[in-house]
Amino acid sequence: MEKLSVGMIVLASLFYLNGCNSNQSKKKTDGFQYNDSTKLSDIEVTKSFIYLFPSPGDVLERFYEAEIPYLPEFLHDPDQADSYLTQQDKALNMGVYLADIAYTALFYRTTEAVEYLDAIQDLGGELNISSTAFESLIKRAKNNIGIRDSLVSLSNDVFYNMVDFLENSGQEHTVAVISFGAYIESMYLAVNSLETYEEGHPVIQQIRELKYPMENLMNQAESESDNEDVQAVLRYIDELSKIYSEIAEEKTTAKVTEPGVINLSKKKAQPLSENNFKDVKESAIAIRQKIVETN
Amino acid sequence: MKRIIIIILSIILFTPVLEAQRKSCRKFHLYAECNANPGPRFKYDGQSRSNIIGVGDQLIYNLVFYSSREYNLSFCTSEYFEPIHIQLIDAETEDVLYDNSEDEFRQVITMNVDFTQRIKILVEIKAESMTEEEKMEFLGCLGMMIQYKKS
Repeated sequence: MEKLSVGMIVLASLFYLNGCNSNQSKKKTDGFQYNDSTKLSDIEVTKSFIYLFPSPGDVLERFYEAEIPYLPEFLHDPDQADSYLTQQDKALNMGVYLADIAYTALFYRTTEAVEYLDAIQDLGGELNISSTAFESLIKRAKNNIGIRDSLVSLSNDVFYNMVDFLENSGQEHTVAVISFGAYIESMYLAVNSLETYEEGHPVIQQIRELKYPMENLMNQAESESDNEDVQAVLRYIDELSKIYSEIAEEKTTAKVTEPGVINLSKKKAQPLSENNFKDVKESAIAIRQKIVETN
Repeated sequence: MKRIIIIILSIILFTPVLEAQRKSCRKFHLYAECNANPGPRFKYDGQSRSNIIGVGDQLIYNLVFYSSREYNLSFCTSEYFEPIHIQLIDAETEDVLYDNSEDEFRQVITMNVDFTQRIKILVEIKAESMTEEEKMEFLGCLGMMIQYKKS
């Protein structure tokens, strides 16, 4: 009996060690959740910070609404998907292709969108993203060729499914890298849609607004900064952050107009200057070049 | 000895339950009551989320809201966890812009946004109908559904 008990304790201790890891992962329960605990009476107060940002489809839709032209020469070649060797390059270029599929979908280029979907599926396999995250979407894409809204919503679903899969399989660092790839490709397509700076142009306003998802990306990446691939991304973000930090922010004012209805406004936002635009454009082109180049 | 074994076995049994519960919360916002149709032309915002939550947990979502949009924010949880306390916070200044404890703990909020900005949403459950013991014991799902249309 005594031997049996000792055996059970050893076995249970092994499980307990596993449980410690789970407690570690409990600190990061769903997605990007980073905890800070304090004790208040008998109940422990735990603050969890979750950094979210729009999908590449949501970001590019703003540029589409600002009437950017379709410039396919700036898209990445889907045939290069199998040229990337490291996990970092694969994840960054996965992000690039996610932005490209969103861009082609917005402009109703169905054949190109399906090519990007194939490239994403190939890279997804190499990044250990379950094929079930994409299979039904590929079927849907092929069934809905010719319907623009379906294609746009599908490109968003590809992003959401992938993020959902990675967050729930403890690969938050990969989400940070892929999201940055998608972000820089969206920025690259946007800055190349304007040859010269035009004050008050809606595209200039949208490029200024890219500051906000970048700040969430930075916070998210910092939370995963012990990962080497994320450290590389942080260096890129830091470069862009220095440019955007020159743009001052106004305080937000909130007015509750009726129960449950709030209006958020600012006095006036400082616009993106010609120098800011030049710097953002140069950085976006240089970073994107480093990401897509094959060794 | 018996006591130690019981404690250790409880830990073994409890850990997978937490993991299963975490997974079962994944798409809570898509199926629970917060997935109501706020009206025509509203689109799903990919920043919508579901998380596991217990009493004492504060979830602080950092989001980007775009200008010229009307957002519908809808929060849901098990009825035992209600009311849900929600604060909208300016991410730049940390000023609290809205607190639903001053607005009958509304779980559906309409937000009109003039300028694109980062907003923090702090969410916690009050679970007023639970005893102190139950508050310590139970975990559940919290869903945040975000939909928007051009304003």
